[in-house]
Amino acid sequence: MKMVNLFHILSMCGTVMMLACNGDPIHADNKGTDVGRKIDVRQYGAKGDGKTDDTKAIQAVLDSAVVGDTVYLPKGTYLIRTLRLVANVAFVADGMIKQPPELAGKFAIAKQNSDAPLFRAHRISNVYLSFRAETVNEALYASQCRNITVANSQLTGDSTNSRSFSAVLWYDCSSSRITGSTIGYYGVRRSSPKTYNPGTAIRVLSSRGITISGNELRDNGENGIFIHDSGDVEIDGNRIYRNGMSGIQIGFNAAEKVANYRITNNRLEHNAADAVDINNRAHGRVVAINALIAGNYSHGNGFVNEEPTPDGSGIATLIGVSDVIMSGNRAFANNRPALYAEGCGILVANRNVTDGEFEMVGNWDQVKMHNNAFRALRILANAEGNVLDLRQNEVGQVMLPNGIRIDSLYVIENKIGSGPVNINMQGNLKFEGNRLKSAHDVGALLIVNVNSASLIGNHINNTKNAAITIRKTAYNIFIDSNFVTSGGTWLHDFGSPDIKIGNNQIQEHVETTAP
Amino acid sequence: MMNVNLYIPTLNAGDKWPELLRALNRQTYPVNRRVVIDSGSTDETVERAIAAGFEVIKIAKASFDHGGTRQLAIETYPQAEVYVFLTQDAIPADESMLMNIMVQFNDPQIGMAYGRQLPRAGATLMETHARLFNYPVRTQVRSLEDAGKYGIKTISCSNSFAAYRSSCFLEAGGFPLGTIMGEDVIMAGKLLLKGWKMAYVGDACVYHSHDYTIREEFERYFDIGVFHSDNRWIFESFGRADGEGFRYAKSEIGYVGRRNPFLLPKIFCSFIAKWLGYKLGLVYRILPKDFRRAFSMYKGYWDRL
Repeated sequence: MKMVNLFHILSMCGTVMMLACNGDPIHADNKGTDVGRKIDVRQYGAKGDGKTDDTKAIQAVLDSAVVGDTVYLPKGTYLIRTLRLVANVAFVADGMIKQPPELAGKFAIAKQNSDAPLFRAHRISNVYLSFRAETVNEALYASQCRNITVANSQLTGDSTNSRSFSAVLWYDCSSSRITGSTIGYYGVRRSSPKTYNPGTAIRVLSSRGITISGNELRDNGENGIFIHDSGDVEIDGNRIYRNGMSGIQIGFNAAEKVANYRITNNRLEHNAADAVDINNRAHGRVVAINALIAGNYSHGNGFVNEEPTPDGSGIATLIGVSDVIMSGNRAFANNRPALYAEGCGILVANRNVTDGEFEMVGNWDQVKMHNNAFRALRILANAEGNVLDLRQNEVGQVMLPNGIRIDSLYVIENKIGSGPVNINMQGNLKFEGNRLKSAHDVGALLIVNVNSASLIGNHINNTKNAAITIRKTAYNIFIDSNFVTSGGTWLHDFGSPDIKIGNNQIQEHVETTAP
Repeated sequence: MMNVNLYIPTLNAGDKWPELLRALNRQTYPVNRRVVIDSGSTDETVERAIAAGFEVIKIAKASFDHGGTRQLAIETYPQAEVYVFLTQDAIPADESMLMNIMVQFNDPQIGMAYGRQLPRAGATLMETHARLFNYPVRTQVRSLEDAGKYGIKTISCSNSFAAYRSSCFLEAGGFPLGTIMGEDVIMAGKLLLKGWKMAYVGDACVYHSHDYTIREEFERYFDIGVFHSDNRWIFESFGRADGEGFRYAKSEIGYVGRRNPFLLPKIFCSFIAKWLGYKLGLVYRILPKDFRRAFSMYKGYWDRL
C-alpha cells in the first residue's frame, strides 16, 4: 500500500512539474496579473521599520500608480493609518501592516463604520488586495464599489476593544469577494451567555454579488459573517468558529433585496449562537429568499464556556422566509434544534444528518423533509401548515401537540424510532409504509380529529396496550396492509365514523421486548 | 405550443456555425427569440447570426462566465415559457430535435430536460465511446427519489443542449455565477431538491463531441475536480456514483480494444491524465495560483479570482 501511495505521489509530483514547466503560450497571453508594474513602496520612501508612519509615502505611491499597477510592500512592519485605494490598482503586501492604537474607534448602531479604516475604498472598481494586518478599526471599508477582491490575507483585530468595528465592511458594493483569508480577534471574546460584544469578521450591507469563500473566520466578538439587505451572496467553504454570535447571520430591511443565497460546504463550530440565522421576524411577511444551505458541518454551537446561550441551531434558524433548501448538512452537539423554522413558506430539508431536532413554529406553507436522519420532529402548539411531507427519514420521535392544523400531512416510509405518534389535528393524513416502534403506555399511533387518514403498509411494533388508537372525532379512516405486532390489542376504535379496515397482518397480545 | 427562447453563447464559432444555423432553421418547433451572446468573435459568427435572425448580445471576452453569461441572456430576453440552450458546436441531428425535447414539458412536473449528444462526424473511437456511454438511447425521467439509485448521476446534464421551464428556472434563482463549470448541474440539483423532475431525452439529439488531447483531458478533469471541491454539497445531497469511473474505464477499454487495440496505450495515458487532473483539482486550494491557471481548461476563471 505504501508503495502504491509513493508511486502516486511521485507520479503526481512529476506530472505537476512537467505541466507547470510546459506552459501553454496560447493560454498565457492575457493573464491579468502580469499587466502593469510592481511598485516597491520602499523605493518611494516607505520605511517598513514599524516606527515610522508610512501612510503618506504609500498613499503617494498609490496615487501615482496607473491602471494595472501593483503596489507592493516587501517584508517589514509598516505603520499605516488609512490608505485610500485607487481603482484598477492592486495592493499586495508581504510585510505586516499595523495601525496605530490611538485610532481605535467605537462601533455603535448609529455609527457602523469607523473614521479610520486601514483601507478605504469608495466608488472604485477592479482592486485586488492581499495583505497581512493588525488593525484597530476595519481592515477594509468599501462603499459603492465593484469588483474588489481580498485574497489570501490575514487580518487581526483588537481583541480588547469592547465595541470593535468589523474587519471587512462592504456597503452598497457589487461583484466583490473575500477568499482564502483569515480574519480573527475583532472585538472582545464573548464570556457570558447573556451578553456579547460587537466585532464581526465580515459585514455585508446593501450589497449584491458578494462571494465569501475559503476563509477562516474565528474568535470575533459578534458574528463570523453578518449580511443585511443584500442579495446574490455565496458563502462557501469557510471555517467559521468561536465567534460571539452566529456563524452566519442574515438580516432584512428592504426584503426584496434579500434573495439568492448559497451557503455551502462551511464548517461552523463553537459559535455562541446559531450556525446560520436568517431572521425576518421584524418584517412581518414571509419573503422568498431562494437560499441553498447545503453540505455544511456544524458542531457545538450555542454555548459560551460550556454554558448554553439562548441560541445554537445546527443547520439553520429560519424566521419568516420561504424557498430555502437545506440539503446534505451535518449538525451535531449544538445547543438548540438543528432546524428551527418559524412562520416560513416553502422549505425543503433533504439528506441532512443530525443528532438534533427539527422544530416548527407558527405557520408554514409547504415543508418537505426527505431522507433526513434526526432526533425528533417537534411542532409547537398552535402551528398551522398547508403541507408537511415527511418521507424516508430516520427520526427518533415525532412530537405533534394537540390542536394543530395541517391540511396535508404525509408521513411516508419513515423509520420512527420511538412512539407514540400522536396526531391530533385538523387536516388530512397519509401514514404509509412507515416503521414505527413504541413502548409507551398509550401505544404506538393515536389519531384524533383528522378529516381523513390512510394507514397503509406500515410496520408497527408496540409493547403496551393498543398499537393504534382511533378516536371518534377522527373521520374517514382507512387501515390496510399493515403489519402490527402489539402487546395489547392491535386497534382501539372509539367509534370513528366511516372507518374502513382492510387486510392487515396482526399479532396481538404478544410479549415483546421494549424497542 | 409553449413559447420558447433559444440561447447560444459564442466565440469564433468557426466552420460548423453555418451548419448549426441551417439545422436550426429546419426545426419544426417554432422559436420565439433566438439569442446569441458573443464574447468578442473576430470571425463571421455575429454577422451570420444576425443574418439568421438572431438577437446578439455582445460581452467582453474576459467577462465570460458559464453561468453568468447565460443568465445575462435570460435576463435580457426573459419572455418565454421554456429557455433552450445550445453550444455553438452542438449541431441538431434532425428537424425534430426541439420538438422532441419540448414534448417532455407537457408533464407539468418536468423542470428541465437535456438531450442526447451523438458523436460528430469523423469522431475518434474514444469520443464516440464517451457519447455512447453517457448518452444512451432511452429517455429517462429522474427525480430526487432516484438519488439513492443513481447518486450524483441523478443530476447529470449538459447545457450543450438543455431546456429549462422558465417558471422553475426563476424559482430556483437562475444559473449560479462564478462557477468554473457545472452551472447546469447546480441548477438541476436545485430543481430536484425543490421537487421538480428532470428528463434525459434520448430522441432529442445533437451532434456534439470533442477529440481531447491528453493535456486537454487533464485540464478538463482538473476543472471537474475544482467544481467538485467547490460543490461538495452536491455529493452530500445526492450521494456518490460509486464505481462509475471504473465502469466507464472498463467499457472504454472494451470498446476501443475491440476496434483498434493500438489505441489502448493512449487510453491508459488518458486515464492517468484524468485521474491526476481530477485529484489535483480536488486539492486546488493548496496549489500555487499559477499552477491552478496552468492546469485549468478555463483560464479566464482564474484571472478573475
